Amino acid sequence: MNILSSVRQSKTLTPTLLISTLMLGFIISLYGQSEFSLQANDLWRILMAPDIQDIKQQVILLLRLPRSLVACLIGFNLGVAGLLMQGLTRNPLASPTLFAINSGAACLMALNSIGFAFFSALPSGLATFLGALIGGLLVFSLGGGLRSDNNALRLILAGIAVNGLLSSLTRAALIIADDTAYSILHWLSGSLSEIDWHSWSQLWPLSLIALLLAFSTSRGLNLNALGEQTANSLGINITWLRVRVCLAVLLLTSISVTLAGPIVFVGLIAPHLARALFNNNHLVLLPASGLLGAALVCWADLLSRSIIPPAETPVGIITALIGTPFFIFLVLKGKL
Amino acid sequence: MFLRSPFIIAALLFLPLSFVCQQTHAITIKHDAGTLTLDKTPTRIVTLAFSFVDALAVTGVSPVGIADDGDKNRIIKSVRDFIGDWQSVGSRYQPSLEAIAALKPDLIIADSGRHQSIYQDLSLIAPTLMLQSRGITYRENLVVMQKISNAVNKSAQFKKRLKKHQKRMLELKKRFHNNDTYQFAIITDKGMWLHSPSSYAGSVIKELGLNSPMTNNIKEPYLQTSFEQLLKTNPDWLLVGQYTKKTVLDKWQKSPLWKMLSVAQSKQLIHVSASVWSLTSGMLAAEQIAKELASHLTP
Repeated sequence: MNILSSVRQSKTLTPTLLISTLMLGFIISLYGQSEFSLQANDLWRILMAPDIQDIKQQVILLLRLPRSLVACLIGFNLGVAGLLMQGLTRNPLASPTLFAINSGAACLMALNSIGFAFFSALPSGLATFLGALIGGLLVFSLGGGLRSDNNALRLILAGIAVNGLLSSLTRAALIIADDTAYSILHWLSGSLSEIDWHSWSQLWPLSLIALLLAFSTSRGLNLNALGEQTANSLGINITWLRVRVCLAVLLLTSISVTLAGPIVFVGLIAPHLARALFNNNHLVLLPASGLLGAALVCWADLLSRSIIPPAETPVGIITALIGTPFFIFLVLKGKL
Repeated sequence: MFLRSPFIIAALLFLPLSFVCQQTHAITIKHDAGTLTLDKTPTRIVTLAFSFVDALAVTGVSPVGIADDGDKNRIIKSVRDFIGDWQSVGSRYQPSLEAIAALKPDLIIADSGRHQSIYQDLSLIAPTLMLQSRGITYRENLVVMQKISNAVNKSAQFKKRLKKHQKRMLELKKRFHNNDTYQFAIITDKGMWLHSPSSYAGSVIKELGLNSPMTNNIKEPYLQTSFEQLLKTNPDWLLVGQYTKKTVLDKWQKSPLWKMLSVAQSKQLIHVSASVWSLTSGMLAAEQIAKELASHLTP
C-alpha cells in the first residue's frame, strides 16, 4: 500500500496513469487476439488508407471498434453505479448486484428464451431490460422506497430476498429449457461477443442521461457520507437524493446487463480502488470509479479472448476471477 | 428328515449346474461407473439419453421408458419408426426416479455426463449402465452402441446392422468427393456454436471424407463463436441448426461483412434439423445426416 499512498500524493500522476491504462487497453483491444493477425499498423492504415474491400479494416471498424467502445462504457457505467450504491448505503459491500437488477434481467431473459407465457412475445432485449427494471424497482420498494424512516439495512435485506427469488426462478427455467440451457448459461456469465454498432447506439444515449443524473448527486453523497441526520440538517433532502441515486443505478446497470449480460464484481472493485487512489470527494470519485471500471472491463474482455482461443470465454468470468482475489485482499488488509 | 434328504441332495447336486447355466447367459459389461453383470437378457429397458434409443432401435429393441423431456417428438422420426410406444420418465436433465421405478425396469441406461449424481439411486431401482452420450465422436459412439447391444444380448444383430451401415456410409462417401470445407453450427438468439471435428456432427462430416475449415486439432467439441471468428473460419458450406426463431444470424446477415463470407457468395448456407444434427447421435442419426448432406451436395 506504500506505492498506493505515494501515488495518491501526486495530483496529476494518478489520473494520467489511469487514463493511459484505459487508452492502452482500448487500443490493444482493437487489434489484439485476432485470428486475422491484426496489428497496430492496421489501425494506422484505417486512418491513412481506408479500404472497404479490406477484410482486416472492416473487422476493426465493424466489430472491434463498437465492442471496445461498449466495453469501456459498460465498465464506466458499472463503476459509477457501484460507487453510487456504496455512497448511498454507506456500506462497502453494496454493489449494483444488490438491487437484483442482474438477477431480474437474467430471470426474464431465461423465461423469454424458454417461451414462458407472454414473455415469449417480447423481443429478447426488451424482456431483459424489463426484467432489470422490475428487479430493481422491487428491491427499491421493498427496501423502504420513499419512506423517510428508511435505512440502508432494509434495502440490503430486500436485495438479498429478491435476488434469491429471481435466481431460483431462473434456475427452474434453465432446467425446463435443457437444449438452450448452454446458450443461456453463456449469457449469464456476461459476454461482449455479440456487440455491434447497433448495441452502441442503444447504449450511449441512456448512459448519458443516467451519468448526468449520477454526477448531479455527488454533493449530496458527500454530505450523506457524514450520516443521514447530519446530511439532513445540512439541507439535503435524503428522500430526493435516494430517488435520484436509485434511478441512476437502475438505468446504468439495466442498459449494461441488457447488452452484455451480468458482468459481476466491476461495481464492487472499481469504487474501492478509486477510494484507495483518490480522496473521498464524490466529485472526483465518480469519474475515477467510472474510468477504473472502464479499464477493468476493457482489459478483461481482451483477456477473455486469449484464454482458450479461438473460443470466447465470457468476460464476466474474467472479472470474477480478478474480483475474488482482490476482495480477499481487501478483507485481509482490513479495508472492509 | 430322511424323507427330505434326497431332495436336499438333489438340490445340492443341481445347484452348481444351475449356476453354470446362468453363468453362460451372464454378460459383463465395462462402463463408466465400473462393471455391470447381467444374469439374464433385460426386457424392460429405460434410457435417459436420446442416443441410447438409437442404439436400441437398430437392434429392434423397444425401451419401455425414455427421458424424452415430456415430448415424444424429441426422438427423431427415423428412430421413432423402429420402436414401440414408451412412457416418459421426465427430462434428461432431471429424470423422475419415481416414474423410472414405476416401470419396473431390469436395465437402466444413463448418461455418465449428466447422471453421475443419481447413479446410486438408479442402481437401487435396476442394474444401471453409465455410458457417454454427449460430446463424443462418431467412432466413440459406435463403441457405446456395441456395449448397449451386448447388454441386451443383440450383439449379432448389431454387427449385421453395422455392416449395412458402414456400406451405406461408404457409398455416400464416394459420392461426396470434393475439396470444399463443411461446418455445422447451432445458432440461437444468444450466439453461434461451431461443432468441431471432435463433436458428433463434426466427426460424421469427417467420416464422410469431407473437409473441416478448422485447421488446428481442436479437442473442444463445441466452440462459441463470434462473427469475427466465423469470418476467419470461413467455411465453403455452413450448415446451421437453430434452436430459437430469431438468431444471431439474422443480425450478421445485415452486416456488410457478411458478403465477405464464402457461404454468402456461393449461397451455400443450409438450414438443417437441429434435433437430428445435434440433439441425438447414433447410426440412424448419422445416416440421416449423411442423407441430408447428399440431398444438398449431389445434383
